[in-house]
Amino acid sequence: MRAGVFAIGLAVLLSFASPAPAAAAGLTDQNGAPFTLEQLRGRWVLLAFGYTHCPDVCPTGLYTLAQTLNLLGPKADKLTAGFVSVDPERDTPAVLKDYLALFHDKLIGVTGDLAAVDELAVRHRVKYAKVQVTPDHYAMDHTASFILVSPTGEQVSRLHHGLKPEALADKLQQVMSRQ
Amino acid sequence: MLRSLTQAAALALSLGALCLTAPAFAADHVAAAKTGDLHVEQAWSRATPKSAANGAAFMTLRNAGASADALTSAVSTASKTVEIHATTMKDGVMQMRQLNQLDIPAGGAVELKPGGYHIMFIGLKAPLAAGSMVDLTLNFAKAGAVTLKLPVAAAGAPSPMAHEH
Repeated sequence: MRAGVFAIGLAVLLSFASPAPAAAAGLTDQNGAPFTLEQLRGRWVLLAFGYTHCPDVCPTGLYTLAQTLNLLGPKADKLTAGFVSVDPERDTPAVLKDYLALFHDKLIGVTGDLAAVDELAVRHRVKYAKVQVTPDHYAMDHTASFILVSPTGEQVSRLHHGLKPEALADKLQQVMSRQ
Repeated sequence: MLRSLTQAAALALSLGALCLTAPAFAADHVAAAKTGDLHVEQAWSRATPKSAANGAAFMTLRNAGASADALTSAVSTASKTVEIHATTMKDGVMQMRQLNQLDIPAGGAVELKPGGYHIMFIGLKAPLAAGSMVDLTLNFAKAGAVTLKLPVAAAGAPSPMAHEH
């Protein structure tokens, strides 16, 4: 492993003042509109946390989400699947919109200022940290699991990111039909 | 769109099953090449969104020789640099790290696949489009260099078959 590789903690991460979104503090969706999870009360919400510069786990996870939505078909009518960026410095709404379009037209993207993203991550026990891979570029370590939030806003389960779409669709149907 | 993706998934599954019995059929979806005792097999890449700066490539590196070898670097005309990466999971947290080299044991093989080792294109000059090809040159410590053209599958595809629509 290269000597220059080092991890920096959340405290340091937060000290990187976000230069990009000049919009009002808080979260925004991929269209730049203000976003809160409260807007989705009454719906099931399945969230994947990640970042668009991630070439491996995040695209695979989004592919899984897209296939899962397709498998569920009309059964996904009460489900919103979304991708929350833990790298809002680079992932502007426009970047997210372009990124998600490649996977599924129903996926929503969430980004925003660092504090708001952090609040959402902490609320759902999602960990992340910025890692300088080389002097030229950084990566984000992050929790890979999918987070399922109930229509009343409770986090009901944490689903393994490596699940096949069929298995994820089955689990979602089980949970959504129970409650 | 929903229907076509479902069909694509079904087709991908059936193609995957076909490939188990007819390896030659996989030639359309993956690339292979060799240099000395080092065989590059099942090599493929994935499409990237317009905004994405990075892409990934996956393959199996098989060392038919009697001495260990290592992948030490890689280059491509498609990106500014190419790095060798390992994705690992620690307590449910995905971590991505750069490797100085990837060892390939004598008589052994190392699989690069989504969620594990991968080749990373850093600073793509243009997006990688599904159905296109991307060139990659791999440099091995003993076996030397080999260049191949990798087919580009769908974004996020878990396997090279998934780009069939």
